[in-house]
Amino acid sequence: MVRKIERDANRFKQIVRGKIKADLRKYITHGEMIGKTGGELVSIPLPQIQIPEFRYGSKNSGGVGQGPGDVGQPIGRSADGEPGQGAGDSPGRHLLEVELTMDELAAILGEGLALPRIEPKGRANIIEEKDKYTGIRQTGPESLRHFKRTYKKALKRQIASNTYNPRDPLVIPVREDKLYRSWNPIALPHSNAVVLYLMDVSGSMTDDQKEIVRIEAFWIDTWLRSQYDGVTTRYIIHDAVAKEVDQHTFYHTRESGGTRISSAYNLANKIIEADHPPADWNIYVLHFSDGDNWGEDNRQCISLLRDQILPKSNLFGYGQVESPYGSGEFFRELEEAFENVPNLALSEIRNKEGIYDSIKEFLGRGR
Amino acid sequence: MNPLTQKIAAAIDAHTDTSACVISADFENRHLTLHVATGGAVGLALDSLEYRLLDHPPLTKAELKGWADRLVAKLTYLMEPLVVLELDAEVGQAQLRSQSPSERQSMRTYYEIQVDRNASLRLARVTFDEATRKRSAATCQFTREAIERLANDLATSLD
Repeated sequence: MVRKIERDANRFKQIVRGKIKADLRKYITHGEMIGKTGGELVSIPLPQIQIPEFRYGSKNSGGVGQGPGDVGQPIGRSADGEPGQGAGDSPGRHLLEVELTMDELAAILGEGLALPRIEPKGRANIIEEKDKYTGIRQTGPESLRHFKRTYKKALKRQIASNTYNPRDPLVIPVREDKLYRSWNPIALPHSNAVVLYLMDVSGSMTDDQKEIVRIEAFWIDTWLRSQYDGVTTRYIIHDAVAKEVDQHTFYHTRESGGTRISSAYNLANKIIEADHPPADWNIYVLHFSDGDNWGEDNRQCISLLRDQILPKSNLFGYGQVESPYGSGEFFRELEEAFENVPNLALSEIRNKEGIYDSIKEFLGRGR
Repeated sequence: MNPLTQKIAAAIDAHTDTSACVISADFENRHLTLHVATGGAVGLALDSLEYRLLDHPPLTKAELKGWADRLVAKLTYLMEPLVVLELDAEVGQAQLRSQSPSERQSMRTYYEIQVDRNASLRLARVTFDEATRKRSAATCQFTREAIERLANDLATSLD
């Protein structure tokens, strides 16, 4: 039976979910949630929720009173108070913060953006064996003794051997009666995914653009982690040269070199070939740049994508983040080179407001 | 006044009509070319400007950076301060752009200077149209005085 407090807590959770879903675009755009993640939980400020509560009236300060009076005497009104004296110096009212698990957040994201669940591709399952206590044995440690079955067997034996007395229902199991729980190995399909984040950190990429990438990567990561048992994330930065880095370096590096996108695609391809065979892994390659690629490099990028990366990936996403100088030509080059390729998603992100639609573009394919 | 400046000023004087043309001037190993879109008595609208030091040994990365930095420091009269945006040592190119593009209606316009290790540079203006989401070449509007000053600064920016 569900207790009232549980029912109320569930109702509260529903209200919170609804509120977050309604304001999802704001939460995604502001990126304030990223700084509030702590392990498996994320705390979200919800200033709008008014929790119903009883309030006492102000005692002896106006309103209807009782006391001696003459018939017809008007009830007095309290005098108008003096206006307040500017801003106070006491702390303000805090925002209500609620904690959600990353899975709950992913579910809200999925509902909010109407994202289809991802179908892990073909043989992209690693079989993992887990032990489950489903069997019974006649030997085993006492800690695994199956009491009910042991009792039943002893009872049956005593009835059969006519040693059971209903008036004195004493059942004493002997060694042969004892049954123990045993385990059977169960094969569990275990879907794994690797996400390779590629970012242009050349001189033309500003901090604002990197912030957009950071926010978008957070939400994509949240969704993919909810879809797979194990998600490995790898980070590549590039200007004219690409290198693999950790997450902190990924978001905080600025180089002054030129832009050669093919360097990043080459490195991504090498990493996939070396560590993540496409037969065993669901591969996601997500690249962010301002699209100002140098020289004849576009042609090489297209050939690398067509021959190497796209055939190996569940999804290749390219997000072109607009710089103060507008949007580079790389987006158009890809658009012209790849028409209706199901595992290629292109998105132009003009500003933070564009993150919401960009995430939908990347993840809306259910791949 | 630098001899190259005098020569380009004379070449502009010689060009009396307003039609598109190419005006160039040489002094010693310095070569300056103006790709004129429209001429005029007061100023010129240029499609691009090219400057080159002939027979110059290839610049090292440090030299290339030094040249780009000197250009940023010298060319402060283009209404938009310049900044070295990218420098690719492998290709041997540096890219300078206006620090903040000028915005007018849905257009963003900025200077772009491509500096090459073979001691050449190309100055042009680029427009990004919000409506079409495309970049295109724009003309650079310079007064004659600005062109002469530019020629002088370019001639002395790399010896």
